[in-house]
Amino acid sequence: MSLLQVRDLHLHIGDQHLVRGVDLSIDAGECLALVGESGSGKSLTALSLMQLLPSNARLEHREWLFAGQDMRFVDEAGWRKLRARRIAMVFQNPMTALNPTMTIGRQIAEVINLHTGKSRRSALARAVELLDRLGIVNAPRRARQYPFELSGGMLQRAVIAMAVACGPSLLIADEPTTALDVTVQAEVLMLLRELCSDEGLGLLLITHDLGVVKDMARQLAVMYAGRIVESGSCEQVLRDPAHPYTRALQAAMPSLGGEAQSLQGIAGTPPDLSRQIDGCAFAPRCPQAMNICPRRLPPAFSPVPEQRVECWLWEQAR
Amino acid sequence: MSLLEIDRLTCRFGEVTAVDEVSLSVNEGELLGLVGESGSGKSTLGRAICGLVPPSQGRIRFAGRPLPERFTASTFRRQAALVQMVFQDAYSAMNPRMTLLDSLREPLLLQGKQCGKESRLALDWLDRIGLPRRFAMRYPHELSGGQRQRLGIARAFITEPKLVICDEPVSALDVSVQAQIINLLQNLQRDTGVAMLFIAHDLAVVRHLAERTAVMYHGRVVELGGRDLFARPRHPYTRALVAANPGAGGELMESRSLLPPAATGCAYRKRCPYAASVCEASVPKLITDEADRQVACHRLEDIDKLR
Repeated sequence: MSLLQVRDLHLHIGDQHLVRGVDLSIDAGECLALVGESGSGKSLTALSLMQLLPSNARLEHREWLFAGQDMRFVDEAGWRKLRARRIAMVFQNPMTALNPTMTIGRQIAEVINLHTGKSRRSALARAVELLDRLGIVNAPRRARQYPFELSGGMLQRAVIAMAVACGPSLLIADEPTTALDVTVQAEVLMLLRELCSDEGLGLLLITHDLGVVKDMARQLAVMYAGRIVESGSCEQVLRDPAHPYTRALQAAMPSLGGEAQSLQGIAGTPPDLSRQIDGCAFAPRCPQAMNICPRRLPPAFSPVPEQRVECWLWEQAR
Repeated sequence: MSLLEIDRLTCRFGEVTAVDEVSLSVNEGELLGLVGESGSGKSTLGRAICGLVPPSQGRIRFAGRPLPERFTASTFRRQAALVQMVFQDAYSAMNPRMTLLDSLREPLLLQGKQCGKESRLALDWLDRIGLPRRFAMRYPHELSGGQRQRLGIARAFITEPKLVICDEPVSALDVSVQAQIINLLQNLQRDTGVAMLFIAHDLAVVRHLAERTAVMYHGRVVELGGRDLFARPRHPYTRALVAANPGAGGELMESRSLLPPAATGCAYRKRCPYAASVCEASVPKLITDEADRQVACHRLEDIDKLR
């Protein structure tokens, strides 16, 4: 059974329709990668799953199960018990995610103290233990330091320590390594992988880097203008992308191996999400667009089992 | 012929040595890549070439002439005519109160070379970077990130410099836009024959663009090589960088990226899996091998034997 199962998630903020029918499913111990350009709704999907939304947001869904619990019936008090304890989040910029006036150790201990009821002293000891486990050298000393005294890589480890402090079963990581150097990034990703395999943590990894996806995820979902336009096993989708948008993303990325090919940018810009979009949102930028594309929203087709693509090109193939 | 020659350049800020005895040269029309982690001194080196950072030691020669030790307004302007810079954050590099047209005219007016033709040239450049002419009277905040970077590039190229230094010009952009900007830079370089120093931390981007690439660690160039640099890295640090690149499928070689550089000897030795006592004793010098690769490592021969 899936750890998280969401069907047809919609998010409106003001007159903007920002998430337009997202289906997600994550198993325990599994990593699902969510990729797409900025503004595609990746982060808002993540924030919706944490119920961390502005007051003028309107969230709708057809089904939302988390660890067997129907989330329709969870009120704000229930959510406060879920966050950090069952679902936790790591943000892109650790500097802004931490309180600059509190030491690292106390910030982590505060979370533990608040959610598990451990005494402050034993919470602090646990915080040091966590920092040590996440590869921070001389953890007791680092725990007494303030965020500005630590490098970006160390801060991101501290944030991850804080996120996993109460043993959540789902971790949402929103571009956790985008601000880091490649060598540090590789280590942080390895840590997240270990957490998945050792503790059976379900991981929703939001990124725009297809290289990171390849190293981390088994399942991949590609998001464009608030919809998941393609999803499937990571290996399959990256080897044989079925949606023109996924193909365009791949053609836009330079690679370290193989022959240097000329890069293809994607012309045009993503659509205005305050308008209604009748057909496929990618149609105006799509090199293969047909007459039907801007008029009717494509249903999901399966070029191969387990792969799902919303594109009219696959209609004949069916 | 080399356009830019840097000879044992050192830049110190108080206790910190940001650039440590770097020697490099850039040929006319060449695109040299410069990679390294944050804090490795890549940006400081770029700024020193522009005259934005005074060198503490060493010399920079540009088009055969040494840069002045201390810039005056007029020598700085002369240098700006030859070297221009494209920054990572195009928005903070622009005056938010200037229209696109004014932003593009400004460098021409300062150079005073195109009397009366500034506006026409500025509009031509809007065409060249693929922005519609009706954008001329808009302000930077009305542009998207990619459009702003196009403007930043036009402003660097409009005075026809000899060298353009690009400091992480695509790091803040989405991949689809990144590809457009990389293609734009490539086309401009081909059309104008300008030399470029391309500073980035993304190895794949640099490999895509650069003929030669220098790898910096803690203020020093540790390896310099041609297009095969990333396929056959020799310095342990370059190897670690390549292995850490996501999707490369490489094994992670080090798990010590948080360790600070060593103060004596080879700065990389604390992280290096091959470090030996010789690495503590002295700083390795760049040595050129038979394939014209330059590597600064004491243990190079032993490492090759081990593999």
